[in-house]
Amino acid sequence: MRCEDAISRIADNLDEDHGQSDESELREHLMQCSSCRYEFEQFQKFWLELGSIPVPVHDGLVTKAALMAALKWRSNVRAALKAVAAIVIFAGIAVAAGILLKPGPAKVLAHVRGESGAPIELVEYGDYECPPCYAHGYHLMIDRLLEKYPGVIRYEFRHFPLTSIHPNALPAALAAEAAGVHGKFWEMHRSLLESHDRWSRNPKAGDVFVDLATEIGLDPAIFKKSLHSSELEQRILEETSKARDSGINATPTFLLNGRKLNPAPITFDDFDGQIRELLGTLKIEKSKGPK
Amino acid sequence: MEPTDWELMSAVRNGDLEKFGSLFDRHQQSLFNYFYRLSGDAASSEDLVQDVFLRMLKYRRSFRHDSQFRAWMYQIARTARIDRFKRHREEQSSTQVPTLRSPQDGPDRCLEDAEQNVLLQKALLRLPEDKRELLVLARFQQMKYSEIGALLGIEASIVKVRVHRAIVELRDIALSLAGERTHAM
Repeated sequence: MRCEDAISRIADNLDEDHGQSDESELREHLMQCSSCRYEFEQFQKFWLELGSIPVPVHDGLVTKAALMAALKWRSNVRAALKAVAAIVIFAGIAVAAGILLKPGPAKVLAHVRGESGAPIELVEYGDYECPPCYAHGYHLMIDRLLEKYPGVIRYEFRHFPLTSIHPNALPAALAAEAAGVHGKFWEMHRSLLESHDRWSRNPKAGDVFVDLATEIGLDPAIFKKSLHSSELEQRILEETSKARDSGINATPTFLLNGRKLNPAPITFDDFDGQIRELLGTLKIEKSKGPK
Repeated sequence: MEPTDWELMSAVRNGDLEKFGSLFDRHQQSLFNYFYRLSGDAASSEDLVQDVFLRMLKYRRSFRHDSQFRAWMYQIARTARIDRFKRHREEQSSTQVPTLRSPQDGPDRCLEDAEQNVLLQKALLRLPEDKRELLVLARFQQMKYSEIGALLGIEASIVKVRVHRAIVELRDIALSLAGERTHAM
């Protein structure tokens, strides 16, 4: 055997799983050739060293909890779909009977992302003109959280405009609600946060809101009507007052399953850490519960 | 007798989602190792493990009677990693500083071994992506050349040659890093 053939066969012998070739020729060559023998020994040594690089032990408990929650959510969705189907049938019958009532305004301005019934509920009280609310990019962190924990988190945004210090906070909340009337709350929510420099402290913020509405595909004339709705304004103020009564006094305030996060998270990892911890707790409580 | 991976995954495919937990328990550490060896980043490796299992669930119908579970799982793992790489291109630097952490790194562990391990992990991360993956599959995931070949779509004989070349290159990088360390001391 030539030296170059021997060297090319070394890879065959690095690991027992890979020993597929006849070794006798190679062994014989190595006995005779000290240079190849040295190379072979060095390779084996290196291969062994490589195998000893440690990897953190990963128990996977948090990941598994999230995964199992997602599975549970899937089965809940199936059940919910059956329920929805039943409701649709009932509604169909109701329409046919002409007994559909005119729907009244919703009592709570709930804007929810994620799944209802998710084990973790994250509530944000926000003010669109509050610098930390837009500067930290919370909406992007929420995107990432919902992507990372599908079926595990229900996120809700609630208005808490600090009208005494932020002159355009209430009009901005109204703009979001007005867009929401036409099914574009989240689009406007994002747009307001990402273009705060266009409307914040701007005496002509109303015009900017109409521009933003047009940019997200709303009819400016129809949007304007909703923007000036005193009913929407009243509801935002009522919600704010209710929040203040429950102890909310700053923006942004985040509640995780009802517990105020203090200090407020400022990075994705802050949220992630809190959620991991909570998932771990939920898992422990579940394992302690009745079987 | 313990059900095989194939039996568990076939059950999941047919709607018995409860079996998915057992598959997770069996393979999560191995998948974590795969991602961690490739990136040196524990947090993103954990995210990817979750992503792989969610994809396995989503695409469970692509697991067929003649599928090999491990090959199928690694195919999904590779795709998940490539997708993440595209999304977070800036995070996937090949010169990323490894964040080795392990219970084995406690005070009882030989300092010299630990230093050598850090050096090797650094060298691994400096190796070009394709060669690094080849070595990780061959050395750490204990895959046979034929399995790696099937996964990467190349002949086993080519895998062997490339593994050999990758080791030569890795060894050179490790030696050069060791030299840098000596000069710095």
